[in-house]
Amino acid sequence: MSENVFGKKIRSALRDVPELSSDIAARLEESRARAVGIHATSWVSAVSRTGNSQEAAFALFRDFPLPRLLLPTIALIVGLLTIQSLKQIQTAEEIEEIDTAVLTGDLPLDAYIDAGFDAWLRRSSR
Amino acid sequence: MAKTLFAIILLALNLVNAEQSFAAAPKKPLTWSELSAEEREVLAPLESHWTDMTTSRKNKWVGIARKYKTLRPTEQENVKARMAEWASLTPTDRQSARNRFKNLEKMPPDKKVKLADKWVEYQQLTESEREELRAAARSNQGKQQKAPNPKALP
Repeated sequence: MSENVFGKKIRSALRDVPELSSDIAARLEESRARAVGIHATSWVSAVSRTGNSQEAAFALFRDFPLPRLLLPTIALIVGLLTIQSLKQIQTAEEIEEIDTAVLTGDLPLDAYIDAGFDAWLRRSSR
Repeated sequence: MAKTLFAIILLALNLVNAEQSFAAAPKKPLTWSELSAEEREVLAPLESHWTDMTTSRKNKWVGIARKYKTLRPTEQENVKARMAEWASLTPTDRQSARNRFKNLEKMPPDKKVKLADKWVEYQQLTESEREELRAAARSNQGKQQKAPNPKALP
């Protein structure tokens, strides 16, 4: 038996009941409100409300917190990966540029390797 | 809002893809035989080091080899003469040398032009004087490493 058929049977059974006690009525009202709330966020309800599947998708997106968080999270992760990738490329290019300059420059390699030369430059500039 | 975010994600993915293509990073390590004849000729001093190099270092050398023909003859001679020695340095020594290069580049132009003369002066010092300067540089470097970083978080 489908959910809708079962629901209809319960509805007709409840309609035939002459009077319900107040606590049962309260519980039923609470259950009804909960069920209506769930139904209001369902896809079928969204489509029937908006009459448009695209609008219904945005309605669901608006109503459920998880899809709302998922897209910005994906965008953030992709953004961070992009930044890291670009930084790595920039570092590799910088190293190539520096090494080319060191290898082709007027000063011999020892001038860059020898820490004493650095100290000599500082001392002689005083 | 969702459409904007989708567009941003697609753009970022395309950007990453484009940048990786531009960088032409090989998916597997580049073997010596995969280099062009011209690249092998330029990088000949490095042949014995080639298999020990990381992919990023190989890429760097291939980049230098490709620029080689645009260099002046004296620069080309310098590259060939220095290549093997540079490749045989430890990664720490290479990075120290790069840092010194960057510091020297920051010097005012009037001092930069005199660097070659300063090197000659330094070579004319006695070995003990040079050793004293090296010790002073090491001590200075040690102090800088121990000093608290003002930008560090508490």
